[in-house]
Amino acid sequence: MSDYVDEDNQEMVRDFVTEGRELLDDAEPQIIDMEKMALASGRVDEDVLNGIFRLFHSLKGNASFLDFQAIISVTHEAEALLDIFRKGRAVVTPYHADLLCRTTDFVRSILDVLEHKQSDEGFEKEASFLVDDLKQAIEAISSEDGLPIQTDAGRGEMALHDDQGDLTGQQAVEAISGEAEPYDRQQPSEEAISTEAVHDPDLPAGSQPWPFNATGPGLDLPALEQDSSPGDNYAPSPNLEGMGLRITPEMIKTFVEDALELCEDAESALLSLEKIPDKESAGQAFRAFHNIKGNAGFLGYGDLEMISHLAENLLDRIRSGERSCDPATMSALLKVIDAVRGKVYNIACGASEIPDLAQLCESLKNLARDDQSLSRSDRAPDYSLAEEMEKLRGRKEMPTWARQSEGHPDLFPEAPVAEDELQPGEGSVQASSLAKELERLRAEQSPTEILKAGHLKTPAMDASPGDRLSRDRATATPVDQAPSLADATATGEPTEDDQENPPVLAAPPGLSQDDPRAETLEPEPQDRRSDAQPDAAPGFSCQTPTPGAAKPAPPSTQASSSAGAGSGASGTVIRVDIDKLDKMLDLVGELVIAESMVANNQDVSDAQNDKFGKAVLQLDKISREIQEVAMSMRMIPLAGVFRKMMRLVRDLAQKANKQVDLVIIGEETEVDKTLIEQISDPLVHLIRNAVDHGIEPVAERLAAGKPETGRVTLEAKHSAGEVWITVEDDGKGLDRDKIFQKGIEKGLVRPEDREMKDEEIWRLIFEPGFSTAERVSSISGRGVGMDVVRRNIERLRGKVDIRSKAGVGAVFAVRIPLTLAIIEGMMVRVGVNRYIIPISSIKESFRPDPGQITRLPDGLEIVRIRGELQPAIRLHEIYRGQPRYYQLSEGILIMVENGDNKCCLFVDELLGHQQIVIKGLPGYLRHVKGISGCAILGDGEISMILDIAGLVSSVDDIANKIMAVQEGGETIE
Amino acid sequence: MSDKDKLDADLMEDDEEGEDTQEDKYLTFAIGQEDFGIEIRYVTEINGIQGITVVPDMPHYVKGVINLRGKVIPVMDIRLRFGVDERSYDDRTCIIVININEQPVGLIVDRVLEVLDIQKSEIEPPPIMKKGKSNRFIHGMGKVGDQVKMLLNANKLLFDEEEIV
Repeated sequence: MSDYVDEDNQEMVRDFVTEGRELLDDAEPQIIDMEKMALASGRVDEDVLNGIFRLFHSLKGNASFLDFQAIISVTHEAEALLDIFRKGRAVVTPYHADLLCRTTDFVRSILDVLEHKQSDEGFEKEASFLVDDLKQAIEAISSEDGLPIQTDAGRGEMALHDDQGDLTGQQAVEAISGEAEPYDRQQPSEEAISTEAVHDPDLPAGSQPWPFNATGPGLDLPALEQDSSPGDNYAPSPNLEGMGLRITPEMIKTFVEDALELCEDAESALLSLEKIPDKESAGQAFRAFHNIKGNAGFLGYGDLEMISHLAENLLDRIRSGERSCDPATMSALLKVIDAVRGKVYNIACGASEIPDLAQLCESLKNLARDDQSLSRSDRAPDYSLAEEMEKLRGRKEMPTWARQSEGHPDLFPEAPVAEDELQPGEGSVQASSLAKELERLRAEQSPTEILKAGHLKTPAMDASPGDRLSRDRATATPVDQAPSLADATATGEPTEDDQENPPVLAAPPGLSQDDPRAETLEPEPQDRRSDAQPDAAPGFSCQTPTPGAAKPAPPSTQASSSAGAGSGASGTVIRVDIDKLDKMLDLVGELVIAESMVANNQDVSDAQNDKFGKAVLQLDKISREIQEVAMSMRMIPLAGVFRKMMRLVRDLAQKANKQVDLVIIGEETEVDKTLIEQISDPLVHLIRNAVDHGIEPVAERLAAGKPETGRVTLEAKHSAGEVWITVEDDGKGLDRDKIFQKGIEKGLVRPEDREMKDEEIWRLIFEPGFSTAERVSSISGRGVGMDVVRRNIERLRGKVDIRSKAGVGAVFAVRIPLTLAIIEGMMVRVGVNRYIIPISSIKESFRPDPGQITRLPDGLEIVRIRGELQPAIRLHEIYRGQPRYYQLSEGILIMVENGDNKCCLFVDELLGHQQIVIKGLPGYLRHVKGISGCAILGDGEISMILDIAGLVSSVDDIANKIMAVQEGGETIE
Repeated sequence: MSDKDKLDADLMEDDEEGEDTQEDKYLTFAIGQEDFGIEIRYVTEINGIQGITVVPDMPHYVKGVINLRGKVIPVMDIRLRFGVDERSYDDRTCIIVININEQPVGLIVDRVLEVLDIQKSEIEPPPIMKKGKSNRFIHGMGKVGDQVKMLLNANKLLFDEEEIV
């Protein structure tokens, strides 16, 4: 794959980085899960292990594609380590989890670098350290249990994977046999057989390992051994399934989405290629096919893999100028796209056939051959297939077996033979023949025999000896071909099923879909893998999303992911550039403004026109709906952010030597994208605090009669137009006295304030530089965190409330408005200026009696309302305007509230409330005191939105100012 | 070189020329009796004076913000920025919207004159001797015929904050 030109690479690297990050994000919570499980029960659920293994494996696969050695080496070792756990040869310890986390961190840091430059050079050293550590861990385990451990467990596969397309079957066999693992008792014999099979030129026609590559039985071998460039002899990469891994419905869904997109790309590239032949388009189409091939191979869709490989070859020649793109080639390639698309659609909805696969392949190959002056030009191009078909036709049970057993039903050429073999009604025939076959296989105990039988009997399917080997090795026993049939049947269908529906999952998807092939398994329960559950349904397929398979994810994830998956499976999903969404939201904002411009237009509204009024109402309704939709498009579940916290808690707990459980509730809660970006930091700080300051050390907890494992709960929910995110711990709670003492030291409170309400005391911890920690630890203690929390939350127009009870725990409740862009605002007038006060912070408004007002000696006016005393703020003083009224009793007082603080704002009059689209003040103006933003009003004028939090907290400042002014000898009106 | 490459190269040259022609062009405007110029590449549009919303707590030369087709843009009175006496706006008063660092700002000027081509050779550095408040905003003196246009350093005009501090 090194022949990619730079821009191709860039694109792929970008994709790789994005995908890699996603994989890492997935992997981390699972690693932590695994660790927890191991600590709790001493053993780890296989699903979790497999999940992690798969993630690392995907990463490795992707990396080897782009030749990022550092990533390959570390992920490979990580895999080797996981493999040991998977085989149950060691127990996961926190150290191992650490190592794996370090690996994810390391890979993440490489990804960061990759984003900017296209190579992972410079990480080799670090990688080798990590690899050493991993190896040491592996060796430590192996010396413990006394068995030699092959750290190269996956290396053979890796070699295959790396060089897919370049390796001949022969080489593949060598690659694997060279790495034969001593502990795999099946290995040697399998190897011998497979190799033999390849070398035996006299194999019956039907038993060619790769019939579509060969044009005649006798020519098969030379072709295999020739090792021409990525030529016709394409050994499909070992797929996940072959490694005994599970393919989740999500993976298939993603694959389907990706593949359809790639088809589009390829199609448009081909069309433009047809018009103007240039390398660019050819390269584009090539890449598309290449990606399809990679993904398909990964998931085990051999037919897709092969056909796109052939198309890729053709395009490669076009790209390198070796061949022209004549209409025939183009239409062949377009047909391939159609076929791929058809297949992908089918994968999405259950079936999995490429009807004209054989013909397509043949035509592609013919095309490819045309421009190569081959020495083997005497080959009769149509011979092999036709011939084979004939032969197969005569041996009906064989293709049936082949179709069913090998897991690549579509590889078998359906046309022209298929019609008479594969009528749906023949399900029972197939079933019985398969059953017989399996019966027979089981009877024959010698693996050699079985293999041979299997080999001879699965002519069309046998992708390559290498593939076969890896498959067999992974499934450990050749009889296991039955499960691989199950795989094949199931692979096509899981997209239909969702995790949200365990009951549905419990039923074999194949059965529920009336797939005759599924029934073949019914009479053969013995053939399932040893780890399969006793009841038919879940064991039926190792890829079906059984409830067990869903386990690796924390319970609440299921809901969220299934919500997405559910809509994804039934409808279609398109990816939209976030910029477009932002633009759209902007425009919707403008629309709302324009709408209120129309509605409030004096000329029309004065006319008292009934129809107009109705029309405006209608318009208002629609624009609100559009607004809601536009907002909802930017909503993302909090799951991503929340799950990062799992890792955080784990690391923190370990560092602080505490035992802490993180409980996540409501991670499916959706919030605006911008909010997601900004909520992460505050959450990190809150959780740090909870773990570091809240949760006590084990001894202390036990002394206090608490369970030794502390518990931090991270919860999210929607409530009345707000998102509530709470971080709760069952630790020792905030220390009132300590905080108060510190507050006095810092000059924030006076000793005589001792009777302050708890809430006010707690709020002190948000002051910058406020920390009660005696010493600064690596986790916290500098007093920066809470300040950051408050600032970030306030920027989101949110609030943080603290509840705490000594010895019981503390709750930090963050409340953030759902939408950041639009608020209900009350418009007020002060002199000529209009201001907007967010409705949410208004308690009430009233015109005070002169008797309600008391003027303090320092000039501050206090309004007494229902027994409470509230300071009054004259907006005209703060914003330096000329008001109409100077007497409080002439204008209006608006009581606003921020947290538990209230004050009254003095304005001339209320102008009414309306929806306001918030716009930030231009950056040029920087931060303006007392103003949180601005809005464009219905008449096109701009109005400032008051920063209530700032105003309320500035009451002290005002008092001081007034005092200062008075001292200067001036009087205040 | 293929035709396409050639075409690309040609286009590239054209682009450069375009840059060049823009570079020597200045939008000139008047403040009182004096003429000033600002590089045309900064200028995005010229508007008549419109309603300005006062933003509290700003330097005195920042008059407030205007609504420019849905965008909120701060406006600065050049007179005040230069320390010239304020005068009331009339129908010749204009707002020149310039864009620097993705930051649109409106400049209120007495009147807009014309776009002039001033070659680099015709530009002399500002006199250093003369000490004046607004000198620091001027990056050169452009000679056009027998007139002199003071060419402004847009960046300093917007972001130089000595005066505030």
